[in-house]
Amino acid sequence: MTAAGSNVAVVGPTAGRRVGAFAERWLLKLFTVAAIGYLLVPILVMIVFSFNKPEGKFNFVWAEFSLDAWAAPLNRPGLSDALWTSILVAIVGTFFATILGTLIALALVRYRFRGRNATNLFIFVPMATPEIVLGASLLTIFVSTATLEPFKSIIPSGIFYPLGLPTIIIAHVMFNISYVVVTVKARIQGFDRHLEEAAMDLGANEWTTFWKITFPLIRPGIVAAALLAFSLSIDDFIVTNFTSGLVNTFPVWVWGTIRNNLPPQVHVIGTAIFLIAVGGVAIATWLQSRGGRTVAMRPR
Amino acid sequence: MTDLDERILARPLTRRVFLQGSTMAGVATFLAACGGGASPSPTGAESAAPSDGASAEPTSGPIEGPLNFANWPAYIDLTEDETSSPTLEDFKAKYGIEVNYQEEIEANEDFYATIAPQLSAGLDSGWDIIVLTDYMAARVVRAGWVEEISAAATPNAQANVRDELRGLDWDPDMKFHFPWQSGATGVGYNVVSTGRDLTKVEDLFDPAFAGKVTLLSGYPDTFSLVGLMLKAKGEIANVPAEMTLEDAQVVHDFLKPYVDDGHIRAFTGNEYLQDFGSGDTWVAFVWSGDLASSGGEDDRFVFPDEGSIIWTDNMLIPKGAKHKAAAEAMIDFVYDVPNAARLAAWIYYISPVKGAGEEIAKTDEELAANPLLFPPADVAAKMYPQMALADEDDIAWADLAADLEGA
Amino acid sequence: MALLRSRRAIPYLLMAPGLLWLLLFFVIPNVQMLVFSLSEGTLRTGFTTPPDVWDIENYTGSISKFSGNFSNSIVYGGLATILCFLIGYPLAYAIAFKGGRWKNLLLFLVIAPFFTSFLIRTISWKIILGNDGPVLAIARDVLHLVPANFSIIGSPLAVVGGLTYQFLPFMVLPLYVSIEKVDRRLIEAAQDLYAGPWRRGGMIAGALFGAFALIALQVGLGYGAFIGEDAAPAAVAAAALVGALVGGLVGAFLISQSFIRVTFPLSLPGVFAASILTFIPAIGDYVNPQLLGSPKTQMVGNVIQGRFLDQNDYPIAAALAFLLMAGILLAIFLYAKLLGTEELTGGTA
Repeated sequence: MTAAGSNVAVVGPTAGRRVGAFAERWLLKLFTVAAIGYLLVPILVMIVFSFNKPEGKFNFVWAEFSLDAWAAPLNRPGLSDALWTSILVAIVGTFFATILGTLIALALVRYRFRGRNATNLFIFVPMATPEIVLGASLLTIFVSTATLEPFKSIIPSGIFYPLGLPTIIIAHVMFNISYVVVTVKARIQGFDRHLEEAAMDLGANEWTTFWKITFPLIRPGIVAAALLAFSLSIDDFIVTNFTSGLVNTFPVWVWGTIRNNLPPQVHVIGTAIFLIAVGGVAIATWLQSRGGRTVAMRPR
Repeated sequence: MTDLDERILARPLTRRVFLQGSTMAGVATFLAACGGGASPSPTGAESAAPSDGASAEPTSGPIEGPLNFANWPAYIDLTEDETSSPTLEDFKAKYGIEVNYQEEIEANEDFYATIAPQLSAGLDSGWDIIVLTDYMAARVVRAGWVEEISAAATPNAQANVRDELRGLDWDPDMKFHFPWQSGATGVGYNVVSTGRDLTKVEDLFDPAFAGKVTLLSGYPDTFSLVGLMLKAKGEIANVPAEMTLEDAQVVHDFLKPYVDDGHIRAFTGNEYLQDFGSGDTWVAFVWSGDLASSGGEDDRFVFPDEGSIIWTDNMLIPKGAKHKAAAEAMIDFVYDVPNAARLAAWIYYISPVKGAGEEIAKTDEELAANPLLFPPADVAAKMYPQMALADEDDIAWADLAADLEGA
Repeated sequence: MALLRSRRAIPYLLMAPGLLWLLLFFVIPNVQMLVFSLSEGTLRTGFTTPPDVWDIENYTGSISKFSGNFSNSIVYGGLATILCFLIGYPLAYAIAFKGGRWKNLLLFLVIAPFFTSFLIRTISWKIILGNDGPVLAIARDVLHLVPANFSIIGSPLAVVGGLTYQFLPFMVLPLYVSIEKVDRRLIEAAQDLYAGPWRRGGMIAGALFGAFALIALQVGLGYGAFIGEDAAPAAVAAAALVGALVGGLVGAFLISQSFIRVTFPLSLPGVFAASILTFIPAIGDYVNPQLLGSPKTQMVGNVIQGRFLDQNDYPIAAALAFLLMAGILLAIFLYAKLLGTEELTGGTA
């Protein structure tokens, strides 16, 4: 074990220390494997059970191996519509939340201004609000846009009410902004202002500096934030349930379905989403390795 | 709309008035008719004719889709591979419109919460048909949140609804609702896990089943059934529909220790099916047809000795529904006798349609003798309606239930 | 001057669209909720709202009436956060310092659960911990450790376990970022200055944690109730002994002085951010107690949900929601004071 990476003192030759060396070498590895295993077990169960052919209506107990569900993954009423809705909502919602959140993060880290601390704190409040409150309060407001003045005459009908795709997206953007801000902020805080100053010294204006220097440097943070937003969005059930009206997203569909049957198709779609996400992350990591390596995470 | 109706709708709801009417009145005759199994029922000529002229009905316009239909889980017939519903497919083919059928309703209160803000604001809820249990249907009808169902557009329904289901005080002339199905609340169990057959409500409290028992959330089913058990033991005097708040307190005090020591693991809606599927529930209060249509091979339903609870789920057209004509077409469609028979045969509930029994008997004698679809006389004699409470009582009862449910 | 003024406006312009969005779809709806929290009535009976009535009772009454749910929330949320920390810190440490070329892969595996629907993950836990699942199959049918009707589902442990699992990635990621930032040269310097293993301290700390963990496990499962009151103290003592032994050994050999003096203090901002990011969603959760718990394990979130959805009692639900939010913000504030960090918004997240 080289001194550079090690946190433990150089061990001596006595037996106790040899045990110590052994422990230091293997215990942590063992622990890491166990902890990762703990995180992955439910995913493995999901993947395994997507190949099950359950005896009853509930895919809870292993019966026999089968490819039936994989052969007809969307063969459930309403499933494919719900899936497409989910993907659409997640993409559009992530797009807006990432832009809005990144702008706030830039302002918060890069500028000193009145109300900055208050804004910092305010960003935390939506994350501290129970999802059920977010959902119920949004529903109340959406409904009042159609009944109450002055909302009624200002807002064209059909945007907020009746509920549907636009209201789901509005809600998802709302709860994702804070997460994007926090994630991107961390990245901007970690980076070296001197690079920007150097660019400015070399005659670049602010706009050029942003696109040539700042943006590439914080891109990994933005990518990470977008990934987080996407995964929160595609997985959301509680807020969506209040704001979706007659439209189903995949989690809402699953929630409705599992009450009286749990077909292996649920596991198949879950596995497919997982695999697609894995692919997405692989691409994002690749982009990050191209764009972000130069930014050292250094102590401040 | 006659003056009488308006008076009834406008009349402040008192507990007494409510009880005298709806749930009590029709029950005895209804049960008698159910109990007869496939015995011929009257053709209903005398009662089928709509009492007031159909000509006065507002026209509903052309039948256009999509029909947005919110229903409970396990409440529609399915094909062998369970990917589509023959009833819905036939309806689509007949009228050439789409049906957006969603199993959205898990509990009356939950679903009410998702539509009440819109309906109370005078807005379209988005649904064209919703299905609510008696007490909640009455509440929605009294609030004036429903469309009147055109008699002219629903001749089958007008003619074929069982006589016992007519004349409820919250909608005496069937202007606003038609029953979807009736059913019972009783005891469900997995016979392999319990190791024996159960017969009584009291069996739920066998120490051998500790931690494997679930009850239904809210008070209408659970407090009624436990109330019947306590009545059998002589601890309370009233049948469910007449239970007082003091009786409810007795039920609460009886259940509380079982909740505290973990004997009762959960209070659920329809999701008890899931827990039977995973083996975590051995014994539970369940709705009569569910385990037969969606449970496993070892799951059983029993009408308990102390008595069981009878209720009806009703189709309503929410105020402002965009596809009212399609909704009326659907109501009429499921009151067509062959359609009704097919539906009842799959979902194992009690059909509100006259002649559905005979229709089933034509093809399947065994099913026609199924007590879930046709409760035998001795079972029917011990079926009791739920309590239907005025608002102030409802809050007190709901508080007692919430205290048991821990939230 | 004009230029200066316009430059001053830049941060506000940058924030305007996002803050406007939050104003419209977060603040305004919550003002409505605030009004509800001081009102009387239900959705069904109609509301009497301020200024006609200012029902403070919604707040004061709720605290006492739902004290059990509040304490469940605090205890389960706190326990889940501690467990996440105990699992997450070594994991983050291992990835940051020992990950090597596996670093990216390991990090990805940590966030992998995010890429499956949480409903499906919870279903998976029901499969694993359920009556017919592998855990009980071994403990009950093979080892005969527990009686036939023993359940894991429904116990507080299942709820805390579910919360821990759910929010572990929220803990690991910020920890990883802050540990990764620690300058290795400082550690080398500490070692040059004879910072050695931290045997005694490590042993004591490890033993305490180990004993605590196993006792908590037993109590959480309600195991004592099944094996009888008499045997329970012995079982607890045995658990404490085993936990202390294992924990002590691990602590003695794995924790070094340089870790206690250098790495850990430097990673504190990450600890702060990570525990807040874990604690907030954990304390407000209601899905885990509902799916994995029992009536006794319901948290404040369940009451809020029940009041909103089952009873349409918006005033109480809204009051509880504001109490919960106020509690969370207060906890963050106190915690920030305690750790002396100004990174109130978790800058390392």
